[in-house]
Amino acid sequence: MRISILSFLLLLSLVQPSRAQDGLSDELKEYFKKSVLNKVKRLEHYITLIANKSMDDNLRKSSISQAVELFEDENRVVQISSLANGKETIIDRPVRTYFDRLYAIKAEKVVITFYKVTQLTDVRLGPDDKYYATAYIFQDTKIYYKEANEVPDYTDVTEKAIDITIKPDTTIVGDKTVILYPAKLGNINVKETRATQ
Amino acid sequence: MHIQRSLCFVLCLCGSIAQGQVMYDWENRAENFHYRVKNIEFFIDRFNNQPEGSGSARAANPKDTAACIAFMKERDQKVFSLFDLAHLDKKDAALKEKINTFFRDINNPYQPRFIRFEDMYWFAELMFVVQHGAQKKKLRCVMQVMPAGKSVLVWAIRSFHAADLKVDERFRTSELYFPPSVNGTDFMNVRLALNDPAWVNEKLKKQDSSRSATLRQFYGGDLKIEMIERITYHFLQLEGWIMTVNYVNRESKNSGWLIDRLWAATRQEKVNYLKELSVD
Repeated sequence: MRISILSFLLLLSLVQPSRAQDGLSDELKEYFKKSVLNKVKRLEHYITLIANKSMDDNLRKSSISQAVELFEDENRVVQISSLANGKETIIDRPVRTYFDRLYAIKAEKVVITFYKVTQLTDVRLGPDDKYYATAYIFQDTKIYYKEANEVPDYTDVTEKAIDITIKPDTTIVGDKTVILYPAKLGNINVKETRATQ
Repeated sequence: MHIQRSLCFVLCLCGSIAQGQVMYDWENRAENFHYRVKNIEFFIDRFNNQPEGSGSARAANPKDTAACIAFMKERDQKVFSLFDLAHLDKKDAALKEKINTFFRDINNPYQPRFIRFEDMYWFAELMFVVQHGAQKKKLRCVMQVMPAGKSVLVWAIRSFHAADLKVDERFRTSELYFPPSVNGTDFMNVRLALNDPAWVNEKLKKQDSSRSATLRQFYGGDLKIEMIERITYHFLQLEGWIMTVNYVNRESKNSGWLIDRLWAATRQEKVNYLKELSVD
């Protein structure tokens, strides 16, 4: 474990010197992208776990807290927009409430699948010395009210746009100052919800 | 180098692709998602024929004829895919001529024209549905990408406008700023911030914003944004042209942020357009 942390820090120290004065080097951008995609993958993993009713209940509950920890803070919201009878409705839910509701869906079986088509915008520097980007993920949900049902009772496809923030954090390792770039998730905009059947 | 080409072939070729793209096909939904122009930055990258998420514009070397032709051909197809093809009448000869002229203007080997996120000559127009007393009203808010230091960009509110509410305010500075990625989640942070009295109060202490009656109404709770009903991007960056980009929500590869209006415009017409947008 210690070796892997050291090698991680070493990798960061190798990446930093190439940071351009007036912008981000391609190396650092690439590093950011990997770091962000890793966070997004973890979010997808937790969403799948929380929704999966065949998993251990304690594991599902602890996944809620771990999913919330991926965010900058608990004040981040998930904006859900849905179309019903041609009318758009928008609801804001704090992240924890969003995951709690996902956990409590009244159904015997919930299957959430993420397509491997995550996309990330260019990373840009903001006025507060943080870096900003947006990630897009694509989710397919199937809900079975009875486990025995072969055909899902409800299905939808949603596209989630996620605010990403990277705040540089300076730490000292031995006699070296190392800058870490932890990525955090921000507000989420659930862009579309469409019935697929 | 002498590159000759007829852009009519672009319309014919892309027309056939387009017909396939507008097909309703759930089996291809992951592919549709991949092609959908999900972010205006991806729109810019695709318009410039650059990888999505790259954020830069590089043309092919005009001395390398083969590379240049390949780049132009690819760009023609990509730019065509950025039009709302379901609402493009392929039999309209005048429209065909206009698009061909546009392609010739922007995609020539010697002086290709690109659009840039960093360029200030483009705007986002947000149409808010606001709660004003017991009534629902529309409030237009125009935002612009502005520099805020070395290599730092922000989205800043440039104006509020609502004839109904007798609101017509302009902001000269970038005091009402948001992170450069705020467009990614459809400006939801703008809605949340304007509905947050603490954020508005902080801005009311700034010189330019302190005069804003609209901000004071937000602060006092007399105005509350219920939703952002529509977002339109206005691009004035291309010499001789104005184009508007809107979100098209349909199960197709030809979806997302697409060009819905394109017209030739002189410099004076652009100045007049800025007045219409309330950012003059």
